[in-house]
Amino acid sequence: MRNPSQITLLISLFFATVYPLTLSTEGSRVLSVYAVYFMWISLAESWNLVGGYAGLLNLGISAFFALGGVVGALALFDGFPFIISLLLAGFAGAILGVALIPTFRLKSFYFAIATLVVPLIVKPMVEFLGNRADFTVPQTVILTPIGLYYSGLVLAGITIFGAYFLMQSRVGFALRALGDDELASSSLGINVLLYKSIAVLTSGFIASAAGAYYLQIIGTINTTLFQNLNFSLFPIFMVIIGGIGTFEGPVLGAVVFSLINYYVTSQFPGSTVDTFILSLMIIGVAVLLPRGLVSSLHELRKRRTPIPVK
Amino acid sequence: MALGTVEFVQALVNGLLQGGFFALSAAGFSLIFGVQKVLNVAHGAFIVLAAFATIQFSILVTPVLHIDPLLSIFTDSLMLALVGGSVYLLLIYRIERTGFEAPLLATFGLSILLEYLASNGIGPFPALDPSHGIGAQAQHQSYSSTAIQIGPFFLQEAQALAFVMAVVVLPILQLFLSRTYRGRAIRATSQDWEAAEFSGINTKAVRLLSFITGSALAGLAGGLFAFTNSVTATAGDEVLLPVILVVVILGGIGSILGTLAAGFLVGVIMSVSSLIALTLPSQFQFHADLASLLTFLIFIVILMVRPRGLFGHGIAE
Repeated sequence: MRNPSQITLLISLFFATVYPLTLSTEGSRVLSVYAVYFMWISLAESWNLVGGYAGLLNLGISAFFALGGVVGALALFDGFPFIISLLLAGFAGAILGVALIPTFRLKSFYFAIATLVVPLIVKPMVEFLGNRADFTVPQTVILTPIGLYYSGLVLAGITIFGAYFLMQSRVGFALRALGDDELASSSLGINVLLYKSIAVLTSGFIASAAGAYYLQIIGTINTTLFQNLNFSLFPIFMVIIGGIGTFEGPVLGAVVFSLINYYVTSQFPGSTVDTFILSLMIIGVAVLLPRGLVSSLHELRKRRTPIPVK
Repeated sequence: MALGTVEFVQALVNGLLQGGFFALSAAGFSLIFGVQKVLNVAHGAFIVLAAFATIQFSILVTPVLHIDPLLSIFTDSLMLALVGGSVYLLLIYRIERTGFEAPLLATFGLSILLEYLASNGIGPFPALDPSHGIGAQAQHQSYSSTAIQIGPFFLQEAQALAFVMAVVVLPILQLFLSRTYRGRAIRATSQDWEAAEFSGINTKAVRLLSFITGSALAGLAGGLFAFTNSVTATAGDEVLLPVILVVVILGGIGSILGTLAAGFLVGVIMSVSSLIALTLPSQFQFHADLASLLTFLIFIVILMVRPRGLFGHGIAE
């Protein structure tokens, strides 16, 4: 890890680890605020694996997320500890990823549309099998703020480093090659189906684990979460702000998004104006910075540098 | 409850009528996606916006001027044509060449914005569902509750109207696309915009036209939606968009008549499966919505066999 953003990331991870130690027992309640940051980081990073590197636009990540929440709740009902519920949720997400494999033969746009329908298919199935729509876990299995903070930090940390090392490996190079040109990479002997499957499985595992973590944050999962476009599209928004196809981009995007969201919400307590501002922000970013904050800054710098005259 | 022939046929009829509305809602989405590859996730919100306008019309204008609120579906579709045109020129046009994500996010932001406006009211117009969850309906009893009786069967008037509208408007749209110069230009652009540009087609104008037409269709559907359903601010995302997606994919993207047929198919599947759900003994009643479960299962099966949809032309693979 040599470039500045990676070093910044390591330093911020260090501070994130030390920060709770500086708080008193009373003050540690504030830590639960940061749980959302870790959740968004994991979700955005997991979307980036498939949508950023492999170039497969998954618009249905809320299916993985909500499924993870439901499986996590069921595991907690059966008396499993939190960490097992997270893992079980992850495996459920990976299995859902396997179910997505047949859609790989669809071309980009059509793949995107098909994934948009995935949550709608999983939702009635979950309601049918679980025979209910509301999964509320008892307060006793919810983590304390400090536990929530550290488990979120570990989840986000594993996700970030996992994404980093995956991208340094053969799999990562194959995925990026795929994302650039599927036909060319398959003619070079890259097993397209295999690597796409690895990306979707890993991404599904992380997204579902993030869902089980979300259950810890809010204490209940309703199956309407499946249809909630926010959880499918906010991660994309974050990845685009931060820089698509980079491993630090989703982290930056998730933190910027959560900070702005937190600030706006705290400015207008008890009102829904924050939704209004958020919607304008999304439209604004899409129109003014369609390539994201980081690459737009890069472009600006390039434009300022005069072209050398021979 | 035993399943009688009359109930079954009634369910078929209801499904066909409902399917007309589905097709009308989905056609605009399909057109826009087919031509400019923009996934307009705000399409559901567009429909709700039009429904909102019709409801306001029935509350504010009808009691004063005694104009039939049904006529407002035409002003709805004009209004949505304007909205769609400005959305295209102000937002989508500037970013459509940057890729797939930015236009998607722009329409996503737009749908949140429209939902916010509908649930909080726009200027002097009151909010759609102040009580949250309980929707509003156009204030006109004769359309929302009257049923036409034909033999032993009942047709809900507003639904029948949506059916007629779909059966009339969509084939006209298909004729426009296949027989007129502008329509052919739209199809040419949807197949290969570069080649279309080389052939002297003004693709910007074509894209604008398709966005306007698609949005105007959302306006028509929305006006009728205000009579058939109780409209909530979030109905666009929760009720309409799922059905629209299923109908669009089944019909084959960009195929208008395919959309019409797929609308009927989805309508019939939904209404027959909810009839079956009703006849199940109580111990087999589920918390789940059996109709949507069955619909989506059938949808997956069809998609696995024919990824391009029932009436698509093989562009998906």
